[in-house]
Amino acid sequence: MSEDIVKEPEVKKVKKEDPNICIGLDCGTMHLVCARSDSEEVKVTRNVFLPVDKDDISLTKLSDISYVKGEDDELFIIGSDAFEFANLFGQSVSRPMESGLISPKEIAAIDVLTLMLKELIGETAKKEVYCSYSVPAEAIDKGRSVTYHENVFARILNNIGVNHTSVNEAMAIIYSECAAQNFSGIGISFGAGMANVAISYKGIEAHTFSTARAGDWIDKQVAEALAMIPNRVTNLKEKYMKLSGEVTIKNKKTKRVLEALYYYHKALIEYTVKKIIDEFDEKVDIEVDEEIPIVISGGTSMPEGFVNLFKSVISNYELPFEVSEIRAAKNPMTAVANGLLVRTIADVKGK
Amino acid sequence: MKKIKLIIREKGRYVEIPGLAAFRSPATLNVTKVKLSVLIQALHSCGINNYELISEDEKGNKRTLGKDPITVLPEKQKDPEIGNRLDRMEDLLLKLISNGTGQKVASSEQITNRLANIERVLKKGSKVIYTEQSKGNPVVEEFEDQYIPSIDISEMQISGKTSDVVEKTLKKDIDDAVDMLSNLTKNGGK
Repeated sequence: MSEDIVKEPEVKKVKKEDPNICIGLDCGTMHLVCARSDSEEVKVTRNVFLPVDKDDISLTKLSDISYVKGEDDELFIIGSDAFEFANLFGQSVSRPMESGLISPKEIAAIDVLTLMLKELIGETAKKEVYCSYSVPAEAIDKGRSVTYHENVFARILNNIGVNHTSVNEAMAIIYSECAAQNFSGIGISFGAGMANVAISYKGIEAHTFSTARAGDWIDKQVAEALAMIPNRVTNLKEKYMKLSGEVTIKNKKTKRVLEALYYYHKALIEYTVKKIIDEFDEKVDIEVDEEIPIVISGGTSMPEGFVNLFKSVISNYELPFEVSEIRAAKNPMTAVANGLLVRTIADVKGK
Repeated sequence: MKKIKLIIREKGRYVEIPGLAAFRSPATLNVTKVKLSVLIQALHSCGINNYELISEDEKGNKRTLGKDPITVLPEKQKDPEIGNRLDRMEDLLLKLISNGTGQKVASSEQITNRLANIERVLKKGSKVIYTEQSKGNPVVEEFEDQYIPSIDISEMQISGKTSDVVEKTLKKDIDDAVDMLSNLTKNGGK
């Protein structure tokens, strides 16, 4: 006997598809980082390329590496591969950006950068795409305006077909790391080209500034002191640099590089802390009546022990504000991109 | 009949004006009956330089007068020849600032549109405006863009793996931060 059970028709829950894609795009001197609202993956590419003479290298040799083939068969090895090839041949990589801004030296930079960003952002499936991209604040110690940089990135995003707005890089750290503190805090991004600082109180940008001293400055100083090319210093720094604990490297030359790197990291932190105090005293008008955190981020802050060194340096100074804690961003490499994504989604939701 | 109003915002001044009772500023008072030159002289002698004189006609039209007595002259009839010359000059200027297509840049309709845009931007307050790139529609180049070399990547090809995944973001963390930021923005930082 068959059971007369009337089955309820199965109701399929159809999740309403978001017609928009929100993007946070960190346009750094050394890395381009992209976070998307429709993906949990944060993607990164090295913001470098290496022009190669087509007669020097055959396409078969390029089969495993990333490259751009331009008009007139120009070849540019891009991303991490460019860096590795340059180190191999003792050459310097070409950088679309320099000191945190679009480089005035590289003619091909903007086209290559456009292609790299298009690949990094990826497929957008005919959806409406909104993007916040990072821009540095004006540097207090170098007379370069950020206007050109900001407009070039706007033009690149126009070309790719993305709606865009620019957001201060260090404020992005506040958006990603200081939600629990009601978006109050001091965000510091120690990048490759610049150190960016934002002083935020309850989400209000009280003051932002940047200095032209950051990772590249360290590499350049060390390279000059030890008569090396900066690429090589960067390579050793990324492989072996630790700012705490015992140095386990036996190679004397590398040891000397690491020692010099330590001195210049400390000098960089000293310089940045002094500038924060000066700027806070002179430019911040609002009364910050509660303890605020300092959040440190950026590729230059990645070596082990950086935050402890920062704590040690800052403890020697009397600060014009109360500090609740000094901590590293959850992921110094992706904090800016994630913060920009937070800001984009919040803006698009409020539209 | 026109009314003339005197406004003194400066605090703590003892003011004596002939025909009126003495008073202490700040004050706003009707001075229609006081002769303008006498009034100005009295204000000067009391050491008051910051004041406003507002004239209001029967229809409620207001006009701020200068600090010195003003003789409002009847408007001269416009010389038709001068008017024509001014019109021709205006046309010439519009042609000069037009973008070469013969279209006038600053027609009244365009000015109205621009004002409407400004009003829209002001109404949005602190809300971020994304520079829109509509997918289906061709991008209309701004006049100034003609001077910027275009980015052409149509002839360029990219090969190989260009990026790495560095992190899997917790969507909940992002959503929580978005909600808090949205609430903070709505409540003006409170």
